[in-house]
Amino acid sequence: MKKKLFSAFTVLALAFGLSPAQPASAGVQEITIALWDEVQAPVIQQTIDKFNNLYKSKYKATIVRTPWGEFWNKLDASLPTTKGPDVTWMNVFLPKYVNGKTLEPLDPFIKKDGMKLSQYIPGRVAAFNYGGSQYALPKGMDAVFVAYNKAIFKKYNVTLPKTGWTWEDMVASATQLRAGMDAAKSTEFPIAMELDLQPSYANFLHQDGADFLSLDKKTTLAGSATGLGTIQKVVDLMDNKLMFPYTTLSETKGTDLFISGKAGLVFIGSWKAKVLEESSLGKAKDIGLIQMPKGKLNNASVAGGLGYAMSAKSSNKEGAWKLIKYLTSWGSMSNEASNNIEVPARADAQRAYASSFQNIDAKVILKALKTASPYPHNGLPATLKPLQDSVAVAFSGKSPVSTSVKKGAEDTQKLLDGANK
Amino acid sequence: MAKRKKYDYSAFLFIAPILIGISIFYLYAFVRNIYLSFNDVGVFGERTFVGLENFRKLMEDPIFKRALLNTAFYAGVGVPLIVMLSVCIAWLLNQKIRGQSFYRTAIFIPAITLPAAIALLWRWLFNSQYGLINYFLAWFGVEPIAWLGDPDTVRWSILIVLVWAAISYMVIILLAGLQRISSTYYEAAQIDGANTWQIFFKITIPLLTPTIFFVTIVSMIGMLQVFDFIFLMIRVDTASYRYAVSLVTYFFETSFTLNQRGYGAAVSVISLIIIFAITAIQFRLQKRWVNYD
Repeated sequence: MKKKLFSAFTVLALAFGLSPAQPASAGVQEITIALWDEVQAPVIQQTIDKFNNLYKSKYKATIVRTPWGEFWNKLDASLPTTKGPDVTWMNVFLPKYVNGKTLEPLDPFIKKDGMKLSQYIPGRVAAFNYGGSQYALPKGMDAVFVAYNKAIFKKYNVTLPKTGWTWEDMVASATQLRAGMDAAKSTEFPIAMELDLQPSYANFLHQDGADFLSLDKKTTLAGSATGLGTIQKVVDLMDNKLMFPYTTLSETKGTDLFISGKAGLVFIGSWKAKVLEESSLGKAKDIGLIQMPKGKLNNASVAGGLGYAMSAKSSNKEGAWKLIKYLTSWGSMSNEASNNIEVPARADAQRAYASSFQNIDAKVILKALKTASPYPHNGLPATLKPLQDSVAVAFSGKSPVSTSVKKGAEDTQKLLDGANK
Repeated sequence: MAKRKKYDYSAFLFIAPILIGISIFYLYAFVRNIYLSFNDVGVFGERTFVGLENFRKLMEDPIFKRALLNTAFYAGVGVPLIVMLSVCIAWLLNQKIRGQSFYRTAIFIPAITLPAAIALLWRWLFNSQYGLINYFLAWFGVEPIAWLGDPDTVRWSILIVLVWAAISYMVIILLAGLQRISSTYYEAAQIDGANTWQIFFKITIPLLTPTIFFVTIVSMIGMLQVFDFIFLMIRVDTASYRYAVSLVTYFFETSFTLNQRGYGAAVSVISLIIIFAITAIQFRLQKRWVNYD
């Protein structure tokens, strides 16, 4: 009996006695930074290495990369605890994390260091200011533009898009390309599009004056006559075979169709600029960039961007602040710019961005940013879901735009009204 | 007077670690999930008691109704297919044929492959632009089919993958069941002049019913809980996702994408009730067709 009890206690001790290994060197504080992008991570690691070298006896920063699909779930679970990252990428979902009291206001750190926020693009600073407090320092900015395949335009003898083109000009060019593709019995299509909100219909709605979500985040105009007309324009492109069918775009990303040479042009975000640069089409200098075609009112794209935020539960807030400052410094942002990964949120670092591209004209991206409008999102995906779902159903042809999107917009407006009470 | 045997409590200490783990991650989580279904729960755990409001909203939710229909489709069509195909393949693998070991190994490969790898493989096989399936169908003049992008075909595409992945494991179980059947039954049948089909339907199937019952139960539970292939193969923001969504994928979407954890808990409670009811009915009905020794 005693032998059995002794064995049992040994087993229990083994089961519960295992503990994580202690940090390698005492005195050096660990700082973790959470992000998702596999293209940006190696470049940011270069900055992290310099930071670690600068503070080698005090701090050691490590990147924790989680793929986009799981990033927010993991952040939701870890940020309210002391096991979460000290620093994290942040975007339009900021209100959710601020309201959940999981982010640290940076104002005391900014004030203590006498930091001037005017060194950053004002719109990007404002994007991370919530309820009067600054919760993140801006990292970069992104815009939407059009990339076109010069070889396809040349093959079908269609004039290349020109600056100042309109939606009607685009449809005319696409119609000519369609005629040529039909005659050649080709599987190509004139236009491809990503189905995500930011590189697609959020832009068209804004350009026609029927914003997906108003600047004050209280209203959607997508269900108005103008908004329905905008969505119908996209459905017409698909119905007339000027754009890939929705079923194809659901399975294969518009960018992938474009860089594999199957599309004449694609609406695309600047976060894919490096992909265009390094593609075989790009290396063959067959990619042209142009700002979006003008809608009823303008050709402004919607612009988003990321920032670096600090966890309210970080056990090393001083180190986390130093890391955030270092990552948003001129040197760090210039390095990111010269490695093509993002347009910096600092005007003094943006020059390196355009000149770092050899195969595409990235100056188009900087021009698009000058007239861009903030990405329409309120950080509450449940309120916008009915409208997004209804647009997806309309694109699929399962329900007419006038029924589906009108109902989706009404349902979303009800949820917005409830959220803004 | 006989000496009373002392009860040996040390056994509980040995199983204590696993019991504690099960209690925390299963029992406690199970009970807490039911409790949360009666609350409005925010992403960071903030709660407001709402009674049956989540369940009332579910009854009017068109996406939930669609998820119910889709799950019924996967179970209603998938389980008979899995059982029938598994029985046939197991019976074939039980015959003395050349390459029997190779076939048995090959059929087991999906069972030891990660669901993520299976999903990635089939996603590209099904791709309308670059997939091998459309490539071979084009030889016969068939136009490209958007297997996963078309709302009309997406459920069937998911069903194909579900059945393909499930058969592997069920064949192994049925093969073991077939090998438990005593050869004396077959010898007696042959002496009586029974042909192959008579032996299969009058001897093999009746004696295999306990194993078939087990396979039916496990397949049904698996189909009612389908999640990973749908989640990994179809983009959540597309129309075809709505035509493929199951109860568990809808639970994941409401809880972790839309951050409505109380509502998601209500979906999982309804799912639990359905699985429990169907399993209970299956156990009740087994007396009519399962032959135990």
